[in-house]
Amino acid sequence: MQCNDIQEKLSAYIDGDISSEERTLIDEHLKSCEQCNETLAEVTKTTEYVRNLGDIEPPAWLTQKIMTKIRSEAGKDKSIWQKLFYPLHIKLPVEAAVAVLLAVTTIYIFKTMQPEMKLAKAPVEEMTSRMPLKETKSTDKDLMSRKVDIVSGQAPEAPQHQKAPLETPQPFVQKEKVVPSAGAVAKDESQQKALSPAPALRALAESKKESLYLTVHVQDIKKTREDIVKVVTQLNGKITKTESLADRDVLTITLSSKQLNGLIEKLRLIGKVEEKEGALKVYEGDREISIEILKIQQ
Amino acid sequence: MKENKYTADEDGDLVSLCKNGDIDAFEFLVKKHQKRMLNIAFRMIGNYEEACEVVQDAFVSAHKNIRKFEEKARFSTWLCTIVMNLSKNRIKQLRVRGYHEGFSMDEPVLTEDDQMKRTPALDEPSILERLEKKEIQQKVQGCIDSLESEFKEVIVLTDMQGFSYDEISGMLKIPEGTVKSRLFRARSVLRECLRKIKGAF
Repeated sequence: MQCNDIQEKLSAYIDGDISSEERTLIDEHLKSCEQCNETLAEVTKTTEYVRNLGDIEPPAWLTQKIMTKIRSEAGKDKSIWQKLFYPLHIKLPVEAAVAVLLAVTTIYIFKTMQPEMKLAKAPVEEMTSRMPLKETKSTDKDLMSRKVDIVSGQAPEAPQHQKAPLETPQPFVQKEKVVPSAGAVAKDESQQKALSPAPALRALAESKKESLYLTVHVQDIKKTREDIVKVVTQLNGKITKTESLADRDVLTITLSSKQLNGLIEKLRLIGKVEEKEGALKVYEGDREISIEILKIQQ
Repeated sequence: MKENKYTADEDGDLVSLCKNGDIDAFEFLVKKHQKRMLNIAFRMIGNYEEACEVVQDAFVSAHKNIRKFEEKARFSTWLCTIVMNLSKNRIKQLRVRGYHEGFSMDEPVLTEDDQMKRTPALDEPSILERLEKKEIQQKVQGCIDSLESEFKEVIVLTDMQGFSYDEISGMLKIPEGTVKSRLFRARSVLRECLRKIKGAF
């Protein structure tokens, strides 16, 4: 064996990573070769130097620093999770639910408020609604007879007495004349309305295309008049004439045609409303309306 | 040769706990292995601060990937592979930055206490010996630093950490024969380097 071959194997030789035959050969060679012995010494020393470099000590803070990093990393993972999922799965639905709840609550409050407002404005409503039977009876009858009833102020269940009171409005008219009035024409109309039967009124209304006649059946005439005055004022209408008769009050007002439906609606809340003329025809401009307030006959 | 003669992984239980998210169990493993890992990193990189950084990164990476650890090898071997790879990456980074100048085998190794080397202090041989020993150790480290990574890692893992050829073969993913030939090459280069150091042989 040449020295080069031997020297190549010396590394494995010192590690014991060599076959016994090779070991014997190398041992034999080393007995005689000084150069190879020198190399062996160097190889051994080199390995020793490396092995004896000694351990260095880790700094005292190393464990702490590693664990801090790991714990913060674990925490970071958690917060990423929170950032990704909380707004989507919890926060957003909560916000949405709150928004929906708010909307529903608002609508609910609004809806519950409305009937209260109606009640506050129309305390009479209850009373009138308590007697629908008689009212139904009267509505069952034909328009003509109802009109007559209204004018005569008779109970609806006695239509056969219509003719008799027709002759009697005379004293009322006299009374009317005593009441101070705003407009002579209106007064005349109201007088005519009070005096003359329905066909005449209709003719008048049709010719003028302006005046409208409404009748409201209530319990308390005086209170209703005040209520109607309030309503008319609310709707920007003007009271042109107020007449107080024995069994009824007559209000003559001027109101914008646009407000007409509003007025009728409000009146319906106060009492039973009858339209004598084509009330729902909408005209341009202001309109003169006569409202008759009649006491409901028990 | 140090530990490593057993086959069963004594860290198996702790590893299982770590896989279930037990951070305290991992802390135990850190305390147990940090010194060895630091030594490996230090011998590879040759810089204490850089080695500390690498060890920190290695443990953080190990914790992050512990569920991927299949326990075919021992935990320490697996950890060592991570340290080795991170160390090699760090060496590359440092070389690119020009921060880490390769050790030249042709120049004498200069150290901080170079001036004291020739001061005769015959009355205090122990101190002199210690200084010389330290000096030589630094020069040996210098020689190791000068090795290419592929030779350095074999020297570090065999002669310093006492891993078997088989384990190193698994860690570095090279055949056992390559491990042996690299070790021979590494020792030869190292021997050449040490010859230039006075008093080494």
